[in-house]
Amino acid sequence: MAHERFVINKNDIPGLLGAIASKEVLIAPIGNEVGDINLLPVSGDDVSSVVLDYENTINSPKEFFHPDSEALFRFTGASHDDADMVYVAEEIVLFGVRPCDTAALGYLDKVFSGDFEDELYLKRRDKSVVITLGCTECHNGCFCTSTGTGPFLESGFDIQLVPVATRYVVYTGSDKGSAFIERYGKYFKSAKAVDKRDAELAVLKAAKCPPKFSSDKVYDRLSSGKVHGDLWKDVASRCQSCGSCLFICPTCYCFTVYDNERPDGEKTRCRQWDACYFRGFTRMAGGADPVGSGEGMAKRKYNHKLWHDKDRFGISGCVGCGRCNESCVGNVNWLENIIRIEKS
Amino acid sequence: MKLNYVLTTCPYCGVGCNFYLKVKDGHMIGVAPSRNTHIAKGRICVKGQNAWAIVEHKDRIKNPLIKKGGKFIESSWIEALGLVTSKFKDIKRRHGADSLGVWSSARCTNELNYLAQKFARAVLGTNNVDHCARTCHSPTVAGLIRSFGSGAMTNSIDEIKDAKCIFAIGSNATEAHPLIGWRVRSAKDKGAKLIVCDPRRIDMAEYADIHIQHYPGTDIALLNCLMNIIISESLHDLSFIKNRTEGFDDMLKAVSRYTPAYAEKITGVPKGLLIKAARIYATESPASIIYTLGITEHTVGTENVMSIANLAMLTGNVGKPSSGVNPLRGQNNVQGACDMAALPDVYPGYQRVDDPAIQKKFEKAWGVALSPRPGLTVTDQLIEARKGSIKALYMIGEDPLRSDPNINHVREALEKLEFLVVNEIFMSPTAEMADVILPGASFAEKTGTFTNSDRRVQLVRKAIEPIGNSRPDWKIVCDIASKMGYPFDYKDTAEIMDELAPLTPIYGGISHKRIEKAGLQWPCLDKGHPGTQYLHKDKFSRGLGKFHAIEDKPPAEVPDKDYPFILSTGRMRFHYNVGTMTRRTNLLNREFPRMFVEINPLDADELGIRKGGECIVATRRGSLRMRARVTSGIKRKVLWMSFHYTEAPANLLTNDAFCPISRIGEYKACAASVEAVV
Repeated sequence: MAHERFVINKNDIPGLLGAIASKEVLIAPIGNEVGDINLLPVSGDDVSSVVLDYENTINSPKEFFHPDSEALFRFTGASHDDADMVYVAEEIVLFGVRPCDTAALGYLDKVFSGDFEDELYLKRRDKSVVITLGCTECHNGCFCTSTGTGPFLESGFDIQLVPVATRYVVYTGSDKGSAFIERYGKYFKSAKAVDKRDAELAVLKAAKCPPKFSSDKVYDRLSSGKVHGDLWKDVASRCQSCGSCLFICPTCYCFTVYDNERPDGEKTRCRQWDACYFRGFTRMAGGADPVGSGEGMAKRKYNHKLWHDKDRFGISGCVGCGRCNESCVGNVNWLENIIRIEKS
Repeated sequence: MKLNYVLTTCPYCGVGCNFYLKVKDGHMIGVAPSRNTHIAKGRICVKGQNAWAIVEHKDRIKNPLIKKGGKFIESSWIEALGLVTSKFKDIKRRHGADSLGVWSSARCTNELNYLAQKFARAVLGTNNVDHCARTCHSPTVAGLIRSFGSGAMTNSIDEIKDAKCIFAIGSNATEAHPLIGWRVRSAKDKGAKLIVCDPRRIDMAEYADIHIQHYPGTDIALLNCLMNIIISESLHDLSFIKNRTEGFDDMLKAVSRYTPAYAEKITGVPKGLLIKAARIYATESPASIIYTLGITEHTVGTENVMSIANLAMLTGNVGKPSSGVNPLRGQNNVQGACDMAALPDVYPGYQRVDDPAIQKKFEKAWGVALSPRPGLTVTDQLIEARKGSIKALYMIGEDPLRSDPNINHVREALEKLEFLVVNEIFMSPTAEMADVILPGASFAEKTGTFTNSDRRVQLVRKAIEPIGNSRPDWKIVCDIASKMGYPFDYKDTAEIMDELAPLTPIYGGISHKRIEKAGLQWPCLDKGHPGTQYLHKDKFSRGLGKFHAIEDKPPAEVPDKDYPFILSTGRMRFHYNVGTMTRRTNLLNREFPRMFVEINPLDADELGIRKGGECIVATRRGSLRMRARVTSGIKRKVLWMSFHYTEAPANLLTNDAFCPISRIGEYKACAASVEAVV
């Protein structure tokens, strides 16, 4: 589908957000009293706390489709057969998602629609419109030009905004995106030649952020199995198995399933995020652990995201958002380690 | 979609990280990090990451429980509170106010702790109020007050990353205080020197410049020796000693016999390593000492702390950034519970109960006559209960039947009580013994403040309504006090803070309003005071810092023919203290679901104990069966185990011999035997 182009003035954004929030569930970057910015549901009254000049939000959009924990079904009777599905899939509009995070959703789509179709995830994705806000500046902590997931996307978005001076040039990339523009047509004008030119210039300029590594080279090094063992030893000695880097990751999707009873008596089968940096993730009854060591755990994550995912899906499992580097209590730096792998 | 991110303070250790509780449609679903708060800086440890999971656990106590015919029966609040107040009144009438005791809690808010001690003092009429700091950092409070005049971490947590030398003794920060472990790692990554003193090769020891693996209970010999070396090599800070301290000559005399050769014999550490460590600590400035319960949980706990203070003063490492003496507090609000005077000898802000002017101030504020007699510590309340002179206890969020040393002794004491009331969120071995259990609300269901290890008062915010019919603990204390005829009328916890701040000079400028964006570190004397990043700048709280002459003493129990090992106990990253919360958390318990004992491979070989094999560890107080974790990380003839497991409670084995000054038990060293189960 050809991209359609529109324009919206930055001044009109609060009006648009107010209009969305009055009709639909709007999720956008919200700043709070300590200066943290998170993607959160916005009510019509809170539109003024939406911020659009941020590097990235602390959380990624993952949790709106694959939440930290959720009930899958509720047991209603004495037998395990007496169960109701309890999940909810609401129509949501995610506004101001960075390209790396939109790309992460594209990755998760592949994971959750593979051999097993994950109904919960896919229904939520169907009912969502994701409005991507491209990046016009290079940031120190992230590296989308190395993973091919930004600073602007070529595909895989519903709508992408390109900031140009006092306006955004708006690209639609899916039927859901086009329908959204139709719903809120009064805020958008068709783009003129000058808008298109300015947007193309902005995209070209942003693309000049130099890549920090070559993902093909990293793939080669990992798949050749020749990365020096010192790297894995270093990661293992630093990793505290807290799971923070994996929970905060926009593409990590692992979960564990358990039965839960709440104090109010509701009995449910639930799933919650799990992480491959926990020993219990792979340890079997009797204590045997096929991964064996901290080094094995470290290596598995790098291999999975930077090698196996490319084989499986044709894309990298890392979208270059850099969140994991900001979350580690052992100062494991994923980006620096990838560069070490490339140079090994 | 209703999804809220509620910014709050972690309920686990004393580091005091802020994070968001994710609340979806009124239920907890997870936790998210905060980047712009002072301690967390975008990070969460594994316990914090999972802190949401216990809030809506099925085991939560939802209604008051009254024991009738040996069984707990759910009751109404009216009935339970009626029973509690009539029993308290009756026992007070028959046996006097000092037959009652209150155990407040380092797990609860400052506001609860303030009310609990006010309840003991103004309503019951006794100073018998204390809490579990007695069994963790009471030697810190006692020791640092004697040395410096203030019993708290001297510097700030975030300064640790900028130290040039970190001297960690009896502290396993990566396990027990992960966000401080992160700062130690960061300092090391920036080139700092790291000295780790621990009988086990803990995580920090793996990347330390020097690992001093001394025997448990030989800290004073070790520290005196380091001072001996520093002085004999003239590496001490003469001008700091002259201008800022007193008592140097007495200390000098005491350390003179602790030559490296002499200390090697006591500590089991090669003298060359001691010399190297002393030189590094004395020359890499600023040097920060961090210590934890490996120092305090000894019969010489207070002397251990004062020895550390000696070492810091000797090298001028007090009163400047990234230096100091930094006890890492173990519980979310153990600092605050001490500040709020859940202690038997002081009013809030460490103002002594036997000072007539202070007594008068509180009598005026609270409108009742108060006792000038210091009360009993928890250690002594148990001793007196066993003797029969303590008749009733009110315990808030404490489980001494798992957390106190020699739990058989605790059981005997609790059995002797006429009446035991427990506030709890989960059933615990101690709660099982109660006559009445009052269901409390967890950290996620109430608003208040915790004070972390670096004296930072931070907000805890309510995320969901209390579970079932549980109530915030501060409200429960208000209900009991009011029913006993002394109205505790507070509309919220902010109002409690507003009452206590003017009475507590170090909290003078603190209010909930002021700490909405960021916590404040005490001393914070008035509304305009910015708080205090580090203590003792230019002048110690007591004027001059005081050196103490300290001689080493062996633990109360040393290895012998029958019990040839030294048993030490401690904590693991995935569990927290007696495991009430972490054992109920899927992802945490999955990591370490079973009790184990660490033993050196050479010892294991001699005894025929296999890797992962069953063995029996025994002391004079009891024995436990568990698996062996055979590791070269532990010194020969030393055993180590955690105390997280109710099914194998390590404190059945530990020694309740206690430090005569601070009354802490000797959890870290007792004589034990171990044998393989064949």
